[in-house]
Amino acid sequence: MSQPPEVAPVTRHIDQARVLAYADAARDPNPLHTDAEYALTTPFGRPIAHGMLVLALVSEAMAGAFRERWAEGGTLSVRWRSPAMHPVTVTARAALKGTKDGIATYDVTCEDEAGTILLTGTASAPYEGAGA
Amino acid sequence: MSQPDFHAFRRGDAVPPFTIRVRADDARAYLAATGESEATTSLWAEHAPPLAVGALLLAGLMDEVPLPAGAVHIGQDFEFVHPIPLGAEVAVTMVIAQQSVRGGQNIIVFGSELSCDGIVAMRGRTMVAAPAPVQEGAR
Repeated sequence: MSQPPEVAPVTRHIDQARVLAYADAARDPNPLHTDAEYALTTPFGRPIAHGMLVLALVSEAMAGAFRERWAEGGTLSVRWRSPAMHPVTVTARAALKGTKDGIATYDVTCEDEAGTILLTGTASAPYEGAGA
Repeated sequence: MSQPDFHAFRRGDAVPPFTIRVRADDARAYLAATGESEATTSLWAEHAPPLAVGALLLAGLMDEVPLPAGAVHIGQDFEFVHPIPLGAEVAVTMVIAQQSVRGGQNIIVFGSELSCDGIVAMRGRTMVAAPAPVQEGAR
């Protein structure tokens, strides 16, 4: 891997079933994500998907491009900008920002089908010197 | 022993240490829930998906520190240093890296270090905001 790879976008539909499954798998009991009545009492007014569920698409995109190296030197730094009101279709994208010392850094975003930015940040991973 | 109060945390305070473990069935449940494609799930036959570890890190944090009503996860940093084998015990140490009040929100950054057999495998910074308590006499 002598050049930084293209990172293919990842798109996924997030609905109530996926959110419930994630709440169980991630052991996250926060009713903000799963309880419509509770969510009515919050500024969001309705349940929102877990931020980490949205972020999972970025990790999947990076793992798709960097394979094992993603878990051996990858980094993520993100801020959630808007809640993902499910059902929603989310697309994670990564655009090459630069390279230094064999590390490729990407600007990453997640957005919904209406173009609302849900998450922004950076991701990086080694692309040289660790064998292909 | 009483659990720590989110709003009492100040920079340098430590969260009680805890351990997490991503077993093979945990990883399968995580990958099914996130819907990760077969193109990458094959990477996680022996090692935990990095964000599955991250998810259980947050679950461990919530076990140790009850989050106040209205708390929102606003940001997250991760550094994946070494792959974590499925089933391995992961020791987590966590300290308050930053604490500030802005716009009526108490914002706490939890800095974490995750180790397997004494070797650091992952680091994280978890940013959580919650409505700051109204101070006596502040109205």
